[in-house]
Amino acid sequence: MNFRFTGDKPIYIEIAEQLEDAIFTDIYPEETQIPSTTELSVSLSINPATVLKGMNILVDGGIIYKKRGLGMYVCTGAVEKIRQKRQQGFYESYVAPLLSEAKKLGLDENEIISLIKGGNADEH
Amino acid sequence: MKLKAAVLYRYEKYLKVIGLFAGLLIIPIIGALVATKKNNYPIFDRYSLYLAGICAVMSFVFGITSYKPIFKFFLQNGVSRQSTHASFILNLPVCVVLAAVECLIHNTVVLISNQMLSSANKPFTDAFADIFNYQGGVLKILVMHIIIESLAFMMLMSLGYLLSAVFSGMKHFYKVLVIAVLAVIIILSFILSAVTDSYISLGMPAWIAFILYFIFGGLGNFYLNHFISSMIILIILFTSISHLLIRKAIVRK
Amino acid sequence: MSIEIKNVTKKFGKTVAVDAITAKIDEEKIYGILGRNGAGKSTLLNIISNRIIATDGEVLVDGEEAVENNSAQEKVFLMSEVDMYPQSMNTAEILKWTSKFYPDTDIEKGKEIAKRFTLDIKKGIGQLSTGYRTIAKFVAAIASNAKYTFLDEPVLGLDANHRELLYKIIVEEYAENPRMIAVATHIIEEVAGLLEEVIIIEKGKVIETDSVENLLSRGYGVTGKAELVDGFCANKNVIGTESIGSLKIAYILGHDNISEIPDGLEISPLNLQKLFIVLTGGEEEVK
Repeated sequence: MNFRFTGDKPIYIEIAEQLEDAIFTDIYPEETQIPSTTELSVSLSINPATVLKGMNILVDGGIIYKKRGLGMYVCTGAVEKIRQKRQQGFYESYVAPLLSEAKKLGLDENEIISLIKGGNADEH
Repeated sequence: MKLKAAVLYRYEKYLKVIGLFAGLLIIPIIGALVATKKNNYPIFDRYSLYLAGICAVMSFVFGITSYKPIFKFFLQNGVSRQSTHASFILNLPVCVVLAAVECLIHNTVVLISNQMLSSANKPFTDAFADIFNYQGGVLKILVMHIIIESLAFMMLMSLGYLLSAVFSGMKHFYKVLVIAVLAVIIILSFILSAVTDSYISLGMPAWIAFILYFIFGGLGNFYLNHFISSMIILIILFTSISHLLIRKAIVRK
Repeated sequence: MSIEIKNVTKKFGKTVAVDAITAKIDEEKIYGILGRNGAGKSTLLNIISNRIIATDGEVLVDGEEAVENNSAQEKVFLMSEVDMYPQSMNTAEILKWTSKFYPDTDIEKGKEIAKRFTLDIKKGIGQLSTGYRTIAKFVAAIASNAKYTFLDEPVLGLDANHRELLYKIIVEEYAENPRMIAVATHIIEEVAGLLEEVIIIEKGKVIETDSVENLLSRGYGVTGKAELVDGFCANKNVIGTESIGSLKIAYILGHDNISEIPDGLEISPLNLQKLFIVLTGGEEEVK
């Protein structure tokens, strides 16, 4: 897993997001162990308390759980949960900024739609 | 714990130097013995105090190096100023080791050199025993030699330590000032004693005579008990003043 | 268990280097002692470690007076900017003696760390480059296992790789063997992630002491066109601004009316470096 901190958000949130992303993209499949707080904090040179805080966000969200004495594991159904959450957030995270940018650029609805379709076509 | 380690550090440092010094002495001693044989004249006789002189200078240098570098090193290691000072006092007995080494080497060389020359089988004598008019068997004389030297070395080591404490606490300007004032006083004392004809029959300025008198209890006759007590007084005096200085000392760059 | 600094003042002649500082340093946390050059960080650390004697006030280490107290100082290790070791001493000897003065010292751990930095432990520290001298001192500090380990400017003269390694070792050490490690520095960007608590010192005074989390959640930044930003900031507690052309960033304390963000403005969290610059009064002289 490759962590990159953008500095736009508090570090613990970035840690939570990037872990979540790694789980979603099957780097850590369900019911497998994710790196420990210590491993993560050492490899990133981040305070363990901060890493733990990031992990706790995922624990609270039912994405990972703690196996006593063993470490953190990915919950069954975690990927589905993340998918639902991201679908709900899709408008806010992607569509809204797209629309706001489009507005700044003076693109109207039709132009946007054709761009989305055309963009797809361009890739082929 | 800290004090113990501090004492250990000091002993390790100075015992190493003494060991190295004793080892290195072999070369000049062999040279002296060869010369003795060649000229049929003792380079080292019972009166030669070269070695004692070198050891005296060395104990003074021990004192100078006992202050600043060690003070800094001990502060780094969380040793209190009190313990730093205590460890210095507890380290003064390295002078006994130095004196014993000096006594051993000196007398061995004198013995060998006597054996080499026709003048063998002389009765055992010792320079210090002569100076202090001390009578006794060989063992007693050797013990007295070591005691006298140990005290003298300890006094010199405390003096070096004190001077180092005084100077490292001073700003550069004051250091120069103190040295200048001391130099002027010494030169003036010579001039004054010459001008005022205050030379005592021994041909020395009065203040030197005074120091000799203080240390030995006399100018021509040296008294052992007086010497021992004056050394102890000086050691106590020097270490007490340095204690006052180190109590609030900080590291100056 | 903690180090308590109570009303500590240090005057050098007429200059007040440390001005009635009161602070608490808890065990088992990574602290940042942040301040610009000459703010009084080193003086404060020197007082805690009994190298300098305060003009006024007291420092307690787990309830024990720190001044001239060997048993209190057995828990405190200060890696300082100034060289306190004899120049001829090499790192192996430094480790050996550190273990005599600090009974919990792990010599092997020290040698291990030295190896990772490719530090020659048989070379006298006087012959080492500035960077390696820093590393030698750092090695002793970490190996000492002292309950309260203070690192004063620990990356002095280190290149980027070694700096990264040093920060990594701090976290590693903290994770494996939790103890208080304080990093005193004016280079905040690099250490920000490491820190749990910060003490910010300016002109001999503590101006902030809090957890990084609390500190950063006290406010936010807002970016956009200058007039929009100004309008938004009108009734808010702005602690600093930066301008790049007509783009303006304002740093705001408090979270009043944060929901009413007009179009064209973007909200971002505060970061430690920015907050530090703002709190310590402007950008001049700050790197």
